[in-house]
Amino acid sequence: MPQNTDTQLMREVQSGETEKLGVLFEKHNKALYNYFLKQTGSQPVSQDLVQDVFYRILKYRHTYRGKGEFRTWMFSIAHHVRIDHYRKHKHKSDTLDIETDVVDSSPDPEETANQQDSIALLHKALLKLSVEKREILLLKNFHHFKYKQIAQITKSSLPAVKTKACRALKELTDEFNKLAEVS
Amino acid sequence: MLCIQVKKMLPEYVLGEMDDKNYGQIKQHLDHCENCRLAYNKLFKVSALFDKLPENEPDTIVKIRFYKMLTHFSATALQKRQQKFNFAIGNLWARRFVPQMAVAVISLFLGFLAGYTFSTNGETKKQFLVLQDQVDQMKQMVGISMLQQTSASERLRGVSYSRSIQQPDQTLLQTLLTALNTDPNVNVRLAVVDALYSFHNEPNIREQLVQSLSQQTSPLLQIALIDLLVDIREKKSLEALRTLISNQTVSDVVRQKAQWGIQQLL
Repeated sequence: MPQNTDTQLMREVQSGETEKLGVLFEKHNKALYNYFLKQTGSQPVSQDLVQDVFYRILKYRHTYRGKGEFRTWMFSIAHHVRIDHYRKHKHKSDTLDIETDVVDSSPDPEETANQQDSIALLHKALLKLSVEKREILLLKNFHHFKYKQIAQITKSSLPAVKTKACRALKELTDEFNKLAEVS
Repeated sequence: MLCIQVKKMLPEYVLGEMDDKNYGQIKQHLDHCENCRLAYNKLFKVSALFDKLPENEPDTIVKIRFYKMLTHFSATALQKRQQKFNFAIGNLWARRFVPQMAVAVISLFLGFLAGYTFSTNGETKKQFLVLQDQVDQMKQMVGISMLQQTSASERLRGVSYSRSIQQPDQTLLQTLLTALNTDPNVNVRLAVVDALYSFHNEPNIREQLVQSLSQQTSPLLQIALIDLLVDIREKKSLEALRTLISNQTVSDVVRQKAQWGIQQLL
């Protein structure tokens, strides 16, 4: 079971074998990087925030109880890192250079131009959402977390997460269609 | 189910995790209602697009910075543990052995006084030197014994103790080298690297450090050893560094570090 392996590795980190964090880093750094990149739109900022997450995992390693999934606990730290970042750089939080940073610069040649356009529209539509709604949709649809796990990550109630996710998808679809009509 | 109810529940239906009863009813409704199916298709199209979002690869700098932070963190944690240990030992000694230490100091003073009063030739000095030698040997034996304990923290204490010895003998150095290559605990091995830095001018140590670099599998150890070999300007390590670079199973970060090491040494 991969989760058991993560939990076991984290237990070993807690007992002083800090080098085991390297295994967890190799496994999860890409997912975390994409979590930040798709919200901040900046590669250098996302690199810094990934570093911050692993620093906090080391610093607060004793707070991991091993009851839930390691991945959920790690993303709850990432959530707080993201909040702290937006608090510090409030004026920049919604002015992202998505076109240059988030859209893959080397797309799969088989992907049609049409699909590329749709993905670019999705990025733009995502930017129209509030930071919280954008985050919940990404956690649900891109990182494939369950509502219960998202509630743990964002420290919200289960009904609140569910309602927010549904409203976010509705809002995103409306924005997407508006942008599609214009272009 | 009415259209107005279905449309309200469509986002939840698209996102999944809906209870079976509602899911079944909506599915049935969509089979027959074209208007609601149109609304569903719009939501589904956008929701499904998330699966097409590109997964971007982070730059190598993320890895390099992470391993640098991890190495620094491990070294600092080790240092803190040693400081705590030294402080605790200091307190223990102060509390437990005050009377004994008082007696020892007085005896030492009386010994010096007697020696000064009664010595007539260099014989006493010779005896002192022999005694000093015996004390040194005893310290080395204590160090070796601590390095062979089963508890990792005891062995860490042993490494720390060994560092305090001014002129280590071959047995102690060999025990440290064995610990560097075979100790199961990476913190102990890292501490040994630090300790051997103090003894790198002793015979054979440099060669053994180069050999150890080829044997280590932990990236932390490999990086620490590369730093040490560069620091002591050991050019014989160039071949071992090149071997590391060409070994595809070695971590990228280590291979980059080895490349850096070669640049520093050339």
